[in-house]
Amino acid sequence: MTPQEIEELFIRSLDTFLTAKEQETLIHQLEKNPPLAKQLYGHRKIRESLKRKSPASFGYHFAEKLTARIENTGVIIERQIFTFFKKYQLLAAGVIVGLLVLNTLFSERVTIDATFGLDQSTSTETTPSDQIISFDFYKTLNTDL
Amino acid sequence: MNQQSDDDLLEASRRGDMNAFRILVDRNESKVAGIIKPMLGDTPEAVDIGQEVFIRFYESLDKFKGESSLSTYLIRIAINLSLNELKKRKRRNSFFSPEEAGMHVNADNEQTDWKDVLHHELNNLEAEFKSVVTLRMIEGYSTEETATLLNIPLGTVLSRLSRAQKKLKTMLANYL
Repeated sequence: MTPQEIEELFIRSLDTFLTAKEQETLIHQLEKNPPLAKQLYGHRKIRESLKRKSPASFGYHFAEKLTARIENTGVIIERQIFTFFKKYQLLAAGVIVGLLVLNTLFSERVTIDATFGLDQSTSTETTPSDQIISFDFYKTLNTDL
Repeated sequence: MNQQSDDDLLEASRRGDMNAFRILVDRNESKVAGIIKPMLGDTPEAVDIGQEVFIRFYESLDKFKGESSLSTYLIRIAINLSLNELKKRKRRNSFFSPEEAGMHVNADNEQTDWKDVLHHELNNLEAEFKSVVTLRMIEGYSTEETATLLNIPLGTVLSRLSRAQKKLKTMLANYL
């Protein structure tokens, strides 16, 4: 076995179970080559040094600071709005459909634009000529008054 | 309230009970910090990302159905946000030198503890290695758990661990 193959097997032994044959081979190779065994010990030293010895933390009052941030930045309101629509999505959809139906009923033409309130309605009604009252500023202000 | 189960606290949090949510944060802070700090270092950004993890969790309280444990769920968010932050840093560092980006450690100083150097060298590993090293070597999750948390095959975990281990040993050749 080459030193690289032995190193590979040694590293694998740190993360997974080796078969009996692999274990035997590794032990035999390390006994045969003490300088290599000493060199490979570095891998174990790295592992031991990296392993956490005490619980990690984000510092004092992390939870308090976090909840204050949530309360102050409107995350609660955003969540409540989301929850409301999620909880009452059928009702919300019903209200929207209802508004569209009303829009259609009160529009003059049934078109997609009218349904969504996008048409520009113009009045075509005119006043009959016999109902038009003339108004003369000169006569009204100077003669009649 | 500290004796309540996670499920009870989750239900209370969903109803808007911030005290219940605070207890959930307290219970899981160390697990989340254990992932984020080795990946991002002991920096203010790490604390910000830690807060972001719990804010995302708070926003998705209704979506969390308990298919995985709460800590697994939070660890996955923590890994994803840390990897995103590392990508941002990589882009930033392509414009600034490592010193300007605040990553300098005096590794040449003879007085420097080799464990400090080890943790510094950890910063120099690529993101894909950092996540397996953090979960397996630092936090002590099994290789199977590491594969599940990262959603990658077990063989990939083993090969990344092996490559990361060799890289670290090469980087620390003068200290071992």
